[in-house]
Amino acid sequence: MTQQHYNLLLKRNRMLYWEQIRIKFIIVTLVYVMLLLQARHQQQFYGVFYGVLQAPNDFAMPIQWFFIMLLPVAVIGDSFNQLVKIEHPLLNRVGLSTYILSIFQIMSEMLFLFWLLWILIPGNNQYYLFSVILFLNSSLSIFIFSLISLFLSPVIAYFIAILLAMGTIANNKLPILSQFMLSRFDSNLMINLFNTIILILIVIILFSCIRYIEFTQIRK
Amino acid sequence: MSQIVVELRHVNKKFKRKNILNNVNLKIYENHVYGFSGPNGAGKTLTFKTILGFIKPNNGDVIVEGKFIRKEVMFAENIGFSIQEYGVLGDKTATENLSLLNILNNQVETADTNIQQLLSYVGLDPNNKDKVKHYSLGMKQRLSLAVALLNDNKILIFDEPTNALDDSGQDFLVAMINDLKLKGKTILISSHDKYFLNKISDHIFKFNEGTIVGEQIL
Repeated sequence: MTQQHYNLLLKRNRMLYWEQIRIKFIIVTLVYVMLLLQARHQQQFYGVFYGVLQAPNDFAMPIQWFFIMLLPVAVIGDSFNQLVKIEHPLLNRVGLSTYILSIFQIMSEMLFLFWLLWILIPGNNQYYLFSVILFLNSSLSIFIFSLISLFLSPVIAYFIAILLAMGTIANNKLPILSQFMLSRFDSNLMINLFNTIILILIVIILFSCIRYIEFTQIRK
Repeated sequence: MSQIVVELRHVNKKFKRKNILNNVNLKIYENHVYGFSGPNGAGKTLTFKTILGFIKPNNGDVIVEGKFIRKEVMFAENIGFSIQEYGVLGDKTATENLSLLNILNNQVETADTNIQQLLSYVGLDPNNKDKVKHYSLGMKQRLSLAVALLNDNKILIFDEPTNALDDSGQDFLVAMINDLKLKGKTILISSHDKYFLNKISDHIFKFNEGTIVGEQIL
């Protein structure tokens, strides 16, 4: 596929994706901006991503972190499923992997916007490595969530996402996911590289299963 | 004897432990019109989706023009189809939709005149600048037929094309299918309307509960 055709595919899928998410996106972005403005007002530049370091025999719930982590999942919801299972068949001469990659690019653009807001609104420029790792790994995690939702129902995929977020909150040393909290962030490059590689491998493994997708979704 | 272009051998499909396609066997010969009849949920659309490669059977083989679907290739690429749930972009005109599908699927640009001819062929006004979301159900159905005809495929699948068409629309459809047959196309068409199927088909498969319960050669 030439670059020109890929750009056209992107344009078409952006339009469809926007149709699917626009209401959720507007609501979630407003909530997100409000949380960031609150963090700015409290001069907590790390604010929403700080998370929690659990003390022995105690449990603290970082509500802001929990919601912030699940916001992109809430926006994406069933849209990836719909975009693949309903909107790909008419383009079945476009390779399914190319098609899915175009949607990943669109989702990354959305996450980049969230990331940019986090940098710009609280004036967050002190946690450069954390923010880059967070953007990279949360994008990969979103791809994993999306691919899982193709094979399980989106409701189950949501449930898994919530369970993982809760597990991360409860366990100070949960591999990969604990790095999503600034309070637990280890800046060791090797650890972060290893985590990213693991996430990429999961994406690749799930991606290799796309040939089993069944196009049975009902249009909403 | 004409050539077999589509064959299903012992195709089974289960969803949630329920058999929705049960040992489906059929052979489709080129340049014939095949009607698929049966009540809702009988397995007609699912059979079409299986032929197209949108469903992976649990057992059995689906062979389209010599290629094993979901084994050698993921999708049957050279079948034009009109299946209701796979709609076009509502915010674009019919011409824009057909151009976009053509460019993306074939990586070539077709002259607008070809697309306008196609729209006229299915009874739509090629100069209509309305967005598809403002179309009536009948117009959407005709556009869906145009999408199926877009790549001049030899095999065509029309799933319930009579839905939303009035009497004149159905007459048009009968004429169109006869014309396509004259042009050498192989057509698979499902409908609840037995009278309509009898009028256009060479061969009818009767479906019930995921299996073929009868055949009729006309």
